[in-house]
Amino acid sequence: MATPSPVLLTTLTTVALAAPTLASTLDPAGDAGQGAMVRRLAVLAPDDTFLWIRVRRLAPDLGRLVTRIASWTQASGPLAGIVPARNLLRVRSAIKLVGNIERTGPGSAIAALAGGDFAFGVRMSGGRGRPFVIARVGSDREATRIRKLARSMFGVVVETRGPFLFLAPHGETAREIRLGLASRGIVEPKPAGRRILAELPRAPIAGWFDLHDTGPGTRLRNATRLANGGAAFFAGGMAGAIGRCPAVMFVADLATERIHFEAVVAGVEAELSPAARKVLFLDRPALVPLPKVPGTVARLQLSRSIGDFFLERRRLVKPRAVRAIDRGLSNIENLFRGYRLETDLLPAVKPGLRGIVRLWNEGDKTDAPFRFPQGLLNIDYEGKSVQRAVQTAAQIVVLASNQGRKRRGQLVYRPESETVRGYHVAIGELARPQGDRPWPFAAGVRLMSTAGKDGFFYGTSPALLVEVLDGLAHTAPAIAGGSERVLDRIELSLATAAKGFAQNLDVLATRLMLGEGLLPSDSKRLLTQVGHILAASGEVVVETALRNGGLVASFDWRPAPGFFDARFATGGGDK
Amino acid sequence: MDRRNFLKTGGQAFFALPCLDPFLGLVPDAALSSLKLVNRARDRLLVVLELAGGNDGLNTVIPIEDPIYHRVRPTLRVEHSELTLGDDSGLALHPNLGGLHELFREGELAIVLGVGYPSPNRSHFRSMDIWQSGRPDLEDAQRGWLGAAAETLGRRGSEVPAMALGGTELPLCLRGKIVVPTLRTLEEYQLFQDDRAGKANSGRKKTLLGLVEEKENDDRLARLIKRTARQAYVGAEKLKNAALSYRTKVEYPRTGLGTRFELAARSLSSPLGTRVVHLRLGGFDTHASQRRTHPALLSELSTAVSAFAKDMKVRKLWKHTAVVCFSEFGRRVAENNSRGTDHGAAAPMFLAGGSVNGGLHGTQPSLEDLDHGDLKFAIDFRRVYRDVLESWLDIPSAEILGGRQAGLELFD
Amino acid sequence: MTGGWLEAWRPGPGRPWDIRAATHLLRRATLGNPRALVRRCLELEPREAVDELVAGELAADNGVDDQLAATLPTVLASEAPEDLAAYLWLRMLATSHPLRARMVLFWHDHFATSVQKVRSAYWMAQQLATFEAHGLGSFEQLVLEVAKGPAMLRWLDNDQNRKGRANENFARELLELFTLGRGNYSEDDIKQAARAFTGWRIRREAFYFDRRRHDTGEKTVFGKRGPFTGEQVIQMAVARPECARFVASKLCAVFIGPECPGPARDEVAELFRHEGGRIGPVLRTLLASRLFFDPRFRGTRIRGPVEWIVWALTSLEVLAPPQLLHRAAARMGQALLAPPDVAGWDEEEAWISSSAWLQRANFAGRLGTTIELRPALDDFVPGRGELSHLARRLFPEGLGDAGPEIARQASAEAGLPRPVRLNGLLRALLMLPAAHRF
Repeated sequence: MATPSPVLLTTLTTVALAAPTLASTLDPAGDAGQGAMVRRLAVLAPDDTFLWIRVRRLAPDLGRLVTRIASWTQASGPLAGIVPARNLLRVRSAIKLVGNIERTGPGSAIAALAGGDFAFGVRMSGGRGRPFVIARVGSDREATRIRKLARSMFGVVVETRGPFLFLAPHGETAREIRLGLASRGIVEPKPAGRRILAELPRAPIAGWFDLHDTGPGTRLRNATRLANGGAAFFAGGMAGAIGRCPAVMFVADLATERIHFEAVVAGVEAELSPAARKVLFLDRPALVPLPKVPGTVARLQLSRSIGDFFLERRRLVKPRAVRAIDRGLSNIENLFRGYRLETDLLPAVKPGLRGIVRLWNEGDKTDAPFRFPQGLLNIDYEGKSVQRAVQTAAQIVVLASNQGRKRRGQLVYRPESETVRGYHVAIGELARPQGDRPWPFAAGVRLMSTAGKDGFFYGTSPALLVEVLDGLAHTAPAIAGGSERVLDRIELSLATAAKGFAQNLDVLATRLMLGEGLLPSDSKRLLTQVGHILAASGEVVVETALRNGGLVASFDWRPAPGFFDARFATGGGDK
Repeated sequence: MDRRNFLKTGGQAFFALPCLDPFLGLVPDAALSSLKLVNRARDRLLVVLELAGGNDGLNTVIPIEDPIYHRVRPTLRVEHSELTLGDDSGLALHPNLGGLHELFREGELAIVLGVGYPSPNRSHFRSMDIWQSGRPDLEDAQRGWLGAAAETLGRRGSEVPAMALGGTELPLCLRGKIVVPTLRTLEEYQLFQDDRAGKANSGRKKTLLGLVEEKENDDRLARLIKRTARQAYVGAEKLKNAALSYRTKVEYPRTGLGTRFELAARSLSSPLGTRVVHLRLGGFDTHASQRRTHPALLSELSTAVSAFAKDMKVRKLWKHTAVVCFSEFGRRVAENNSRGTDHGAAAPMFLAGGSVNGGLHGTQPSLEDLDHGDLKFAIDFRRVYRDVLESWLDIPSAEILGGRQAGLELFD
Repeated sequence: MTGGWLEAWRPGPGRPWDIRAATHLLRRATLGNPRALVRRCLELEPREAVDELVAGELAADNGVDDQLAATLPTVLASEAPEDLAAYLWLRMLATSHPLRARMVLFWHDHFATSVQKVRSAYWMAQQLATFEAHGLGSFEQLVLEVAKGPAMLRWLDNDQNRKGRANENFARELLELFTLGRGNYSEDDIKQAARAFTGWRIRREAFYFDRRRHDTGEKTVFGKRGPFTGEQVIQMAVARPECARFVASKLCAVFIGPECPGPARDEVAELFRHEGGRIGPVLRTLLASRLFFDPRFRGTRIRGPVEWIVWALTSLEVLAPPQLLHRAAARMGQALLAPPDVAGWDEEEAWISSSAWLQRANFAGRLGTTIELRPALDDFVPGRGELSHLARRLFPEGLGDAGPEIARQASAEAGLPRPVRLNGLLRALLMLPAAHRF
């Protein structure tokens, strides 16, 4: 599959990373409509603002976090040798600079600033986006002190009114904002003003991005005209729908035990085209992830109807991409001799792609000296008529790579088969190399493919297939309906991945050596350090879901307890 | 890079360099005159277009009046085509090849029928190697028929005699002992500039040139190195200026091949003396649902070649240009069960150019007398190569092709 | 030993054992001239320095060769020739026996076997290991081992060579390109020799002698008659005086240069015979000789892409991503493990063409962004300090009249950020004409 376009990735990342909130805190009063929330936030923002990020009483340990980062960047710290020295120096210098504001260390300075509220925004003025910052500190006196400091230390003009600070690259803008807000009676610490501030969501960082504004906002609108097929597939045709919604709201929660970003685009579901609905298979039961097995490193699910995507391609992607997809289809058809993809096969490919990766275990034993993690991919389909076609393809696909392997002088797979749980599995296994020829990497997996009632499976381990099939037999089927529907989900257990890392350190070190020109000893050392960091990194979940008719994209990271206090046992880490 | 960046108003001959670049102003005349500037009137240009995958010749040059054709290709046959090739050949071009047909009518397209080689090999890789090396007799040729030609052209004074355009890997046909650049854009044949240095870059170019200024006490080796270096720097600069001053009135189709043909036109007109350019169009391996892709490919081929011909005519280079089109094999006569065709053998070859001896060469292979379901070849492809090498490029062909071949009179 | 050209070079007034002489030795013998080795050379007498070079004792053994060699099975596990090429690059850049590494390159060019036909990275690795193990030993042994390696058997089709249907490819190239040189044998010699090599096959990734396919009949080779085996033919070929002359001319081309006088080559041939065809002892004399240090022959060779890149990186004492280097050298016309044909790469002036030059200039321009130049550079004053530091590593003997030109650039760019400055200086230094000859 083609990789998604950079524009889409940037957009998704921006949307996902730019501060989320849980839907419930967005609207504690219930489903009064996300529109209402947008309007409420807008009250505090100056006119013509299209990007507004409000940061409120940052987590108390953010200051501790900053101090921790400072120690990480020491020359003897755990990042030494991984990150170039000059970058570490830059970060240290920046933090030192902040610390100088209070002369009490960077952590406390950040904590002081973060003790109040501040907002960052961009507004339209004179056809251009102009950034600004509004901050509220503890008292009028503090505001004045900061104003003086800013002037004397950085030569920067800061406007104040009461406990509020106004900062903008151009002095007049700050003034404008201050005056503008003052005219609306918000800045005065009157009871009315305080009440409005109190109504804002409780998450530390919240804000919105207006999708319809002129100027910089058009970048997102351009993203809705996705150029290539791969991006459209990943977006599921949603880009157009997103473009028609008013705003993206986002929230972030930065604690030392959990980092959570979430972005919500309200009302997306209502804007989806019929073609997009098909691709996202919204009118069918939701996908259920493959069951977890011992040693799971990652699970993936992608709710895309592959079949519908191909059938609807003319409505979803540009003509040039259609031609490319057509050619790809022709190539695939070579595998399915006798069947016509468009009429016979594609309509039957049920939505959804699911995958799982787990650590090597005894069930994967081969003679080769490798302990690679093993993976399995599952694509569902329906209809007996295509079962045979898919099963034939399943038999062929394992051996199809042999032609290429032979041509390249590589050892070829020996075809075998096994029957497990009622599935007839085609397996490709590498024979022991002759003479003194070293084991190839390909011998560390047993390529397998099969098709049956749970769909088409392709993977590197028949044992894993058995574990998954057993798990599926005990999984409840999906329930249609409900106001929440997870579309895509990637779940990564970094701590478990670290084990896989350690099991394959030599192989990874050699690849790093060949790729970067590091000596084996240096490679190993670097990778060991990385492994330690990974081991403490906990779990990451990236998800998109439809909730209350809106699209929610979230990123959730729970590092192991104490990650931010970590002493990554390198023997050289911070002591 | 958008072509429009290079368009300017007013027609102006290609060779007038704007010469606003101070870099060129620094080069003493002696260095410029030491470059062997090309005499366009004499030299011949060649574009080799590879149709990768095995083009279905039978649906390209169609025996439209042969009932066997219509019988064995129930779903794939082209029922009717206006683009007949002569009055009584019984052959017509596929309806999407309008551009090629126009060239045919003007006598600028030669179609060689039934081209192949003995004991045809139906493996893509093996057969493509055979076509690219020109040596069916060699198991593992390392050198291409054009690589050898490029060496000779280099000795005759071309600075960069050949280029492979549009990909990243050098095709076998151009492999030989000399360095042949593989470019996706002409901008890649430029001296690298570190953008972070900003204005310092012109000073850096000055330094580089200064380091290769010939001095009194230079020995022969030093002179050779310095001369080559100056030629490289100045050549890249001239190319850049030439590209900037390039104007074309011809609109190339917005397809992959169209873009590459435009690049070819610019390469062949550049001051680097490039004579041979290789292009590739893929996707011809139509085992299934051939109707879905083949006609579009033929259209892409026809529009691109047509635009290129027009462009070269405008530049007054068409009489000195030849486009040779080949594929690694044809396809089977009967269609298969997947509404496609499988690997075959003999197929037609096209040569387009202002000095090409246009018309049909050879006879269309019989649809009855087949070789295991494939068309039998009548003309060895090496004979076509021989004509290209000897009649067109004036390069002896026997050593390159592993033997003498009889000519076909494909050029005027 | 012999009077004349191969007499040991004795430094004296007008012919000093100085930095120039030491860098000349290191460049021709090992490609690079890192400062530590230059210093070490000058601490010794020339003869001693050469001895240590040949024995692999000039550079301290840091265990890197062994470390790298231990990764070879994993390198080959990908079954990708590019990885073996990257590995070879690393061995050349990080070895403590640089002369041996240089000879691996020499023999690779001599036996010019291409992975594109051989297809097996493992067999190519075996061939490289043969070069390493026997490259400084007996030439006859080397030829024998290489001839029986699967890579060569496949490369020149000798694995198809059988009684009654002889394939002459290997026999021809053995005589023409590996041992005797063109014209020093007859067509009959080839035909008959080919029969001796019948039955040589590959089985289980190794050499296998198939008795059934071997032609045991009488053959007449080089005027002698007998039921010769392939081994015997190789012995006979290497024993011929033409072989000594042929090997001598190759060694002279590489270590002395194209200006090497004929009589000097003859002396080297005689030396080769005297030393029983062993390369190491030949080099010990050759590299310490009057001929070698003669100023007329210094700087007369042109660096090929690999030689140029290895010189630059080993002299700067940095490593770079080897796959990058492999691709760059390939664009310059020298893809390791894939010579254009069995005659190897065309050398000297053939390397210098406009396209190739531009490739070199662009590689030099980008190199600074991929390597971390020694942190010690942080101590230097921007401008001339840095320039002098870089220049001395690459050109310990000095920049000559190119100095002022580059110094001007260094001064002019003092205001730019350090990495940008260094990048510019590096390119200028690497694109000096003097950087491309040695």
